[in-house]
Amino acid sequence: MGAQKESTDVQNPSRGIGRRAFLKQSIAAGLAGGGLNGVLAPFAAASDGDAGSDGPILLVIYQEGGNDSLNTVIPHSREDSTLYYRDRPKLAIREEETLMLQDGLGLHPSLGALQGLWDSGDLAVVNGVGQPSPNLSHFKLRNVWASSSLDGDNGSGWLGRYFDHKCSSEDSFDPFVGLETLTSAGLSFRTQSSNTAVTMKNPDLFKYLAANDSHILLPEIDNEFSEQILRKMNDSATTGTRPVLDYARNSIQAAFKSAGEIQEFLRNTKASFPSNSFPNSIVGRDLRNIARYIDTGSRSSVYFTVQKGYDSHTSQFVNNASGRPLLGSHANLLSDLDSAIGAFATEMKRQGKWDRVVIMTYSEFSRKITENGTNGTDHGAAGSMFVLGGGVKSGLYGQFPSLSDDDRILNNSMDSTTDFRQVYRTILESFMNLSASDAASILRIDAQNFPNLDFLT
Amino acid sequence: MSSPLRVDGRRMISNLTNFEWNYDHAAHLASRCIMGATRDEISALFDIGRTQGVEAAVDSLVGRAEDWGDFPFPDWWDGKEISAGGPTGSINDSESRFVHWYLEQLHVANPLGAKMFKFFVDHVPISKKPLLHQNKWIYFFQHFDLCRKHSLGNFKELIHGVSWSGGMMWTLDLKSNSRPRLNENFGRELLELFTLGVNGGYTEEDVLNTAKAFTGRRTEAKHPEDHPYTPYLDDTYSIKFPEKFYLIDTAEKIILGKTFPKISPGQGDVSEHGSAVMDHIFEQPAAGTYLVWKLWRYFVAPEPPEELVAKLGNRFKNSHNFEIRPLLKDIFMSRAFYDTKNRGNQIKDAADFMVSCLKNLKVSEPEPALTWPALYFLGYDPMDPPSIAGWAEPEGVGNSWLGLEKALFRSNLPSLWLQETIGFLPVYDDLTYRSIRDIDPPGDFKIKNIIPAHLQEPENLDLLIDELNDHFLPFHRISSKQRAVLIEGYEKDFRQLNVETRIRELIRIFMALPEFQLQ
Repeated sequence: MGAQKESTDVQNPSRGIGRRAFLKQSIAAGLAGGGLNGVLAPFAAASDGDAGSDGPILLVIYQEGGNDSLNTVIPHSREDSTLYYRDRPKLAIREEETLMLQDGLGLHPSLGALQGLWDSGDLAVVNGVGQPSPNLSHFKLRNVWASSSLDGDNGSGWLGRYFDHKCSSEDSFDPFVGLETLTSAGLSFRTQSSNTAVTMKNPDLFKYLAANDSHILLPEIDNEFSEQILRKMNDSATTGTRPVLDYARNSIQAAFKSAGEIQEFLRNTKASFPSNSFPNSIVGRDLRNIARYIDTGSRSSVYFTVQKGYDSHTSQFVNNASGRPLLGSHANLLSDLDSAIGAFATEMKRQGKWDRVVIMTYSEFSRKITENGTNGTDHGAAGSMFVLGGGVKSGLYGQFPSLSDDDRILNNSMDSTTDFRQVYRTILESFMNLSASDAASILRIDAQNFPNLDFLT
Repeated sequence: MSSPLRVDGRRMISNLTNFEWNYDHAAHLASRCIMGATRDEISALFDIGRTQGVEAAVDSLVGRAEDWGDFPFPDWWDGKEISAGGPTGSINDSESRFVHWYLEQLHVANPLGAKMFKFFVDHVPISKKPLLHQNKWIYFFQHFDLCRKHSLGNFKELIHGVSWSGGMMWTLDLKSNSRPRLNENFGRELLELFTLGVNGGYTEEDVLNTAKAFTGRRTEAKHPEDHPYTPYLDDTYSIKFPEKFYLIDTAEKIILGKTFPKISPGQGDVSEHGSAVMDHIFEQPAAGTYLVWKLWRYFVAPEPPEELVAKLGNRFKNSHNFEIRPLLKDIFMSRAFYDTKNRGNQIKDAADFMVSCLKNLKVSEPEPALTWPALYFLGYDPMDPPSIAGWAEPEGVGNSWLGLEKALFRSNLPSLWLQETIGFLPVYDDLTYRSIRDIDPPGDFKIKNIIPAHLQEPENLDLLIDELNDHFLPFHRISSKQRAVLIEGYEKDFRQLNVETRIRELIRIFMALPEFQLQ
């Protein structure tokens, strides 16, 4: 069998991030007139209820570009499977090549670690996920998923609104409420206020010019003085006149405030932290960094990362020596994702935190049922997504879409059977432990119409 | 007072009058049309408007010619030297040089031309990722040349050109789209991203049929016959864009309500096939409004007023025949452009910020090996767009150009000139092209170029702070509390530093303020 659950002590994640702890943190991290890096004690104040101690840890992985779901969760032996093989003469994967799930579905052969997590009861596969009347634009749907609204409203993201909710009663917004390993702030994290969580791709870059950086011209400068002056300049600025200026100031202040903590993360990395189990790829390094922050005591409850490259119009596969379409770009992406998630799960188990973790993968859309003429697939609609973690109830959720010609939408795309906001609701309600009405308010839905999918214990 | 956007349409589109013109209008216009607009540029614009009228001020920006002749392709542009291991060294070194070539134009070319050049590089972006061969450089130079030539030219001609751009044909798989091997990638983005917008009124059938209409285009490189696998070692290669009849979907098709008849052999130039469809796309009302909407977001504010977009879009399409200059003139003359809520509220994008640094400090671009990582860590690799939708659009609150990592990097970047250090630029194993640790930081910043000598005297500290405020933050006056912080820092924290170093540190502080991030 696959990996065993290491801990039976399932924590109640109900407390989430303590607001008191935010306040304490922001005071600790504030200027307070002292030296800068020295006074920061990033995790000492982590109180009961922080992600740093026992709260929930949500990791969202966005597969950017439109993952070919039909070659990820493969309907090899279902009533309408002949249509899968009919419409994908080059791309289709045979039953014996898949990694078995159940009910005539199998995983792409690159997803070995996920199959192990399925076997150990930690993987939920949610099928037929989409939205009503989808548009097949990357950019429209990317925003739909990020904002949890069908018009792709650019105003704020679903996780950003969650952050606002968690911090609503305090003046002080803790940037470490969430951390995304991106170079540009994404819409999912955008708050309704002008506050901002941590966006950081390169931790080595995440610092104000340090005092010991080489100054060819001016070796005598102590950058801490300039940093203090800058912080004071921002602290004594007039606010509330222009929202964009406030946002820029908040970002800069949050950046300075969190930079010291991040450098502490790096310095505090434990010797026991494994370095070799994660794949040497972008998503592998991002997940490794996240695991490292968690190991060091990060109090973030939400992590977000992106794996790019799924827009497989061309050369989605390469035949292997047996002439089977099991190699190539899609297989590489899935294999990379699988190894990264596998390593992350192993590391969370090692840290004794797997029961506090939920990993959710999604893509803006799936691809067409029919392959195109250039060994790839064009934009489609609904698809499957994965939810993993110690507290996940393994199984299939959501009805797998019918492939019959009559049930297809938008030129051979799968129609949805499950609304993506149901998945969000289930996570916010059953894992982040919000009330149904708070979750609905954050997601801008009527809770009655978007039932909890019950894939979490 | 009601917002001009809420009153009747005539007033909404009405132009700013000469009577209303003031310094703040000039500052706003300059800051949106000129990357890193300086005080001198704002004053000059103000004077033209004051003495000759608003239209003359706008014309001084819109009317200036730029033939780009001062920015020729470097002699390695055809990639031959690179493939032969020539003097430009590695591919990555060439990327740095390419980015440097581009930044130099954004910095010193006709400002509005440069601003629109940047806009179109973003509007029709091509990616280095599918271009792993030597033709990359030809395609990149040709594509950027197309964008700059039409920067103040004709939008429709630009998009026609894009459909024959080798870089785009690779980026969106157009070069492999054919009747037997259909690929919708180009057809979809032509409608969604380049011309009509996602709400532009097309259907999935239109996407499919547009993809069919653009079948058969190919890029071909002719290799020397005796060296089929080592091309470009001599002058015999060429790039062609042949259309192959047997690859073309000749069937009758309906696109955006118009029937395009079946094509038969011997009907003349088959390249007219996709071009006729392109012309029809430009007949759609959205072809006018979509670009206006996007330009309004680029130049003015994230939420364009719908009625104004409809009016300007109609003029752009039906009166201006997709000419960019008169459209920009419409925008910059409109009263709505100058609305107070639009002023000083746009976060500079990476290139705006970089050029602001260069112009405010009166320095030249750093050498290629430093320019590339500087722009990269600001979030802008011009050869590697995050997606075919280009880079983040200028938005208000939540602007993705200012994530926390970038906010820190922006605070550090001026140190390149002011502290002459590269210590904040990380060196990654996977970004190796030449260790930047081996490179000297630029040393061409001189305080005297931007601060009069008498203001550098310690007893003139108040005047110096005024000067720095006006120079770096023409839109903003720092508060008395902030001034007190600066004075205290100058006199106390920096007391061990010499006067020049103190001033450099004050400049560094001004450039790290949130106000410097805005335009």
